[in-house]
Amino acid sequence: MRYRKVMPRRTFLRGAGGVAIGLPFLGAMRSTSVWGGGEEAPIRAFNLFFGLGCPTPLQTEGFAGPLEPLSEVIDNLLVVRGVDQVRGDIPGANAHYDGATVSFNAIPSEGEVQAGGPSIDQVIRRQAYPDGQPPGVTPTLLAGTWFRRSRPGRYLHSWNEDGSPADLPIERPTDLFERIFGSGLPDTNDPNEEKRLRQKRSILDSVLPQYQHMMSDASNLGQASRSRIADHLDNIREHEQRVFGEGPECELPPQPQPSTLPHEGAADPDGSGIDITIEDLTSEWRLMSDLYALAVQCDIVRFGGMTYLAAGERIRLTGDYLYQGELLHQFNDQAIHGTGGSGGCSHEFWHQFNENAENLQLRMHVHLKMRELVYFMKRLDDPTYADSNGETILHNALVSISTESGDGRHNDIVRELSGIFHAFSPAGGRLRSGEIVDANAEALDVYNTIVQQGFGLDYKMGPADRPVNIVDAILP
Amino acid sequence: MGHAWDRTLGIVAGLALTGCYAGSQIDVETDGASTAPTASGESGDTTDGEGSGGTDDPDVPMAECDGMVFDPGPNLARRLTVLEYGNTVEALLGVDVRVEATEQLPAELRADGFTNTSSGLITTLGHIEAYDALASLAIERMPDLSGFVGEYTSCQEFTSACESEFVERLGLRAFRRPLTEDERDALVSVFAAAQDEDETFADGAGLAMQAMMQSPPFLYRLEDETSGDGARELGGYALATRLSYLIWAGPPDAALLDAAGSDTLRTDAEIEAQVDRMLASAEARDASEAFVDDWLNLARLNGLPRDPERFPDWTTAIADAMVDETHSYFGALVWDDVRPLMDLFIAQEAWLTPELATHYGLEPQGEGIQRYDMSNQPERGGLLTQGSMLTIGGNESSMVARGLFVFESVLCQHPVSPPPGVDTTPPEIEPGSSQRDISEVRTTDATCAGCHLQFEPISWGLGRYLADGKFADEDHLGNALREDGFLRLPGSAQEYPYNNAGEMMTLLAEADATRECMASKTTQFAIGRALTGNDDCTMEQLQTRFADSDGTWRDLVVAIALSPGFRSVRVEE
Repeated sequence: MRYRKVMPRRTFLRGAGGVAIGLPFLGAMRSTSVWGGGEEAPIRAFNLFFGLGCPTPLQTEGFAGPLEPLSEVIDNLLVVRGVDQVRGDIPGANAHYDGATVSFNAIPSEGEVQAGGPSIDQVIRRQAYPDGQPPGVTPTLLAGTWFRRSRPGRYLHSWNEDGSPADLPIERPTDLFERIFGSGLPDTNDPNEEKRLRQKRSILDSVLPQYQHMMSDASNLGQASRSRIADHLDNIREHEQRVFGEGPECELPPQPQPSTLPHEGAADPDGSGIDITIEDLTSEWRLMSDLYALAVQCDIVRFGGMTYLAAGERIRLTGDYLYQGELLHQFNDQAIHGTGGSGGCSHEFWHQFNENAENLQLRMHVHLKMRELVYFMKRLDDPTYADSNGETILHNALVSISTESGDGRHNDIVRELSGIFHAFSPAGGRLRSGEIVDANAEALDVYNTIVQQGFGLDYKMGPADRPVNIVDAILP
Repeated sequence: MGHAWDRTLGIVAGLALTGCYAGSQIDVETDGASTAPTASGESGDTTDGEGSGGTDDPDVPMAECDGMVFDPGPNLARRLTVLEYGNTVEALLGVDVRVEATEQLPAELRADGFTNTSSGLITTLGHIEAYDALASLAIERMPDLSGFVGEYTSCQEFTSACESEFVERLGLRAFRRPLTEDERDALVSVFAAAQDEDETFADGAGLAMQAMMQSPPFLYRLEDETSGDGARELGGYALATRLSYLIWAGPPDAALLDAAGSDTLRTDAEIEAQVDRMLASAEARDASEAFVDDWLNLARLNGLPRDPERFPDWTTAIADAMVDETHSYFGALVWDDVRPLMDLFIAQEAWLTPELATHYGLEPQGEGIQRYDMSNQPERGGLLTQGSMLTIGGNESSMVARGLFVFESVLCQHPVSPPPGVDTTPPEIEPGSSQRDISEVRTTDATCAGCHLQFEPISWGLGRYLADGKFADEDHLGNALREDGFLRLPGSAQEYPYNNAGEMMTLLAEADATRECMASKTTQFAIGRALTGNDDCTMEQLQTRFADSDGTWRDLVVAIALSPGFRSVRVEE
């Protein structure tokens, strides 16, 4: 693994336990977009998913309700209400799963790891960079913090054209760090290093043509298999670039501390949920956000997304919730429910939602997630990382935010998959911003409006015979 | 069946076949699908290495599916799983890198109940980096590289003849079919990287082997998906690969490759003979454990916690022992005693470590895992009374979780969602109620019963087993525990009463639905995807063959291997 030059200015990573890690950031080097012959900002698209949703009635409160934190970045955000995903209903499947698997793609899934179609970030990626992204840019990066394990569609929200996952999401900060920056420095004192690299090159040179052949017209593979091979080839190219030192230049920051949170199987002991403090949860969220944002700022990643808790997540949260320096709430889910196990999880507040009640606990959980989403968006909105057109990454990128349901009570699937929260960053001015609008439209139409009208792409998401209804409310 | 919707119904409808293999309606590859001859002068193709053959072979009897359209289902290049990768490297090179492969390769996604679901077997940068490192490691670990190389070439000089011979002979095993000219030339080119560094021929061969292990035909199970029309019978090499990964979780051996190459892997008798030969190996027993792990989701027990206040003597070592219990039980019944698979639910024996025996309240006998005769212990014996099953559902003896497990994994059913507008607020529960009492509230409540009656009464038979697997008279609240109940089988509202877990499991073991579900689950594991309605033709034949057999693991594997879907591939227009 090769490492790169110094970045001149400084920013910070927050490690586990709140220790700030100083690191310099990217200097002037910035890849120009290949889109449309020389724009000043790369095309980027990220899906941010948060678990459990925000009930539709609470969305009507605007920034006076749990969406309050979004007001901090509203200049570069469009909140879109009235978006329905009812076509995502899969008979016999659980509504959390239905809603999660249609987030960002709007087509019912065809299996637990088989989406019904591509997600919007991957549509834009393939259209914007049909021949691949610039050297050093990873094809897709998915990361996040989640605990519920059953069915990958709960926590995986970026899908290829053939419905396969665009990548495997990374949940440990150390793994994300390694994924972004690589592992291990080359031993420049090893006299065999150069020979090793020459031989590795020779091996790669013999392997690459085989993959290219498998994707060619001479191949006997079908389209789905070729797509699989194509993704493999993308990853080989990235590996090649890392090994031979091509691509953008960023300094290797200090490695974060290993996470203390449960991961993999330990994170979901039979669906009964885990106990977690707000400090632990938000520390890891922010570390993941910092690392991901750094990767975007360093132009290592332009497509992918983050998951802030899985669909149907089960956590029993405790701790003080501060917002803008004030103690806003004290979480104690288990005590509020009066029981442990799955019954003591925050998930139950969604089951108990009542339009005529205060729903304080639910509101605070949503508010917390909004706060953390804003934390990430602010990292992308930092003017010190502005693109060559003078606008921030947040302004120039398409950051899509969504969730699994518009109601968590599970007794009305139409209501549950209606009014699912959506928000979008301006995508370089392609979308309206600075407002809350009511789309009153299918998510499929919202996504197609972005793709076709916003980005001007000759591509339609969803069934071929379904006409697109343009959603003017989201357009400038 | 799983909730996978087949998007290609249009293709299926277009096939319009009246039978699964109805004579000339099936396009059988006649010779070398594509390309230039190999260096040896024999024909081959890019992906399948199809053998020759026609459709009118009287030794290939094909049943029909009355009125059903035959469709082998969607095909997808299947990346080797972590297990398959480790087995393949060892089979090829005699080197074990399984530990490192497990550490370095990303863990597989579990989807539709299995970790080998092909749509989830994507490749990430992490995989690429690991394959690079593991290939290098494997070569480093070879104790006698030159000796190994000498098994595949008659000479070890940097000449085209020596290099090509090595690459072609080892390549046949690595790629599980003959190499094409282009593949051979690409791999031969790597020798120069050793020659240029004044290294040996064996070193060059080592580099070529690293390249092989990162090539698509090694890492993926590739099949010809474009030659022909509709549904096509697989060629020998492709079928050999499907058989070997089903039975061994590893590549075809020399004998199987020879059968593929000589076109003696086509008739039922030929395939069955190979299956029996393969099942006789130790690898087959080891590989069947992978199915058990996935089917029963035994990975759930890794580090499984229990409430320390309610279960003070619980340790993760107990959880590990429970996994070993189920593995050993399956191995003994299926491989040692060759019993019908349905006996898994009723066999009155257990396989326990001394610690687990003590945990269950039994007198330990001997060191290590031992067979315990449960004939006089009616509460033990049978798969569902094992700790690996009883720990499903957290710290409570969850009737819902246990019931759903049996409903979905043993009976292949899926609960129906409540209709829109129905109030699904859980009914009021009296504090201090037993799990059984709470369950009965759900199964008698007008709103909940429609759904919960489908699966909860199944688990009532396990009502005396606590969440740590112990058998008890009372729960932690002092409630007396019950184990009587009734079972509803798929497609019927009839209730079959039982008095205890043993009777409940006997009902399951005797039900056609259980046998059929076992066949479905194993087929899903074999083909790497959830079954859909388009598999009905294949499954009808397979189920009939299995039902008419002794119902052993061997019988099931043979039924799968001989089924039309397993032996065919859908051709893409």
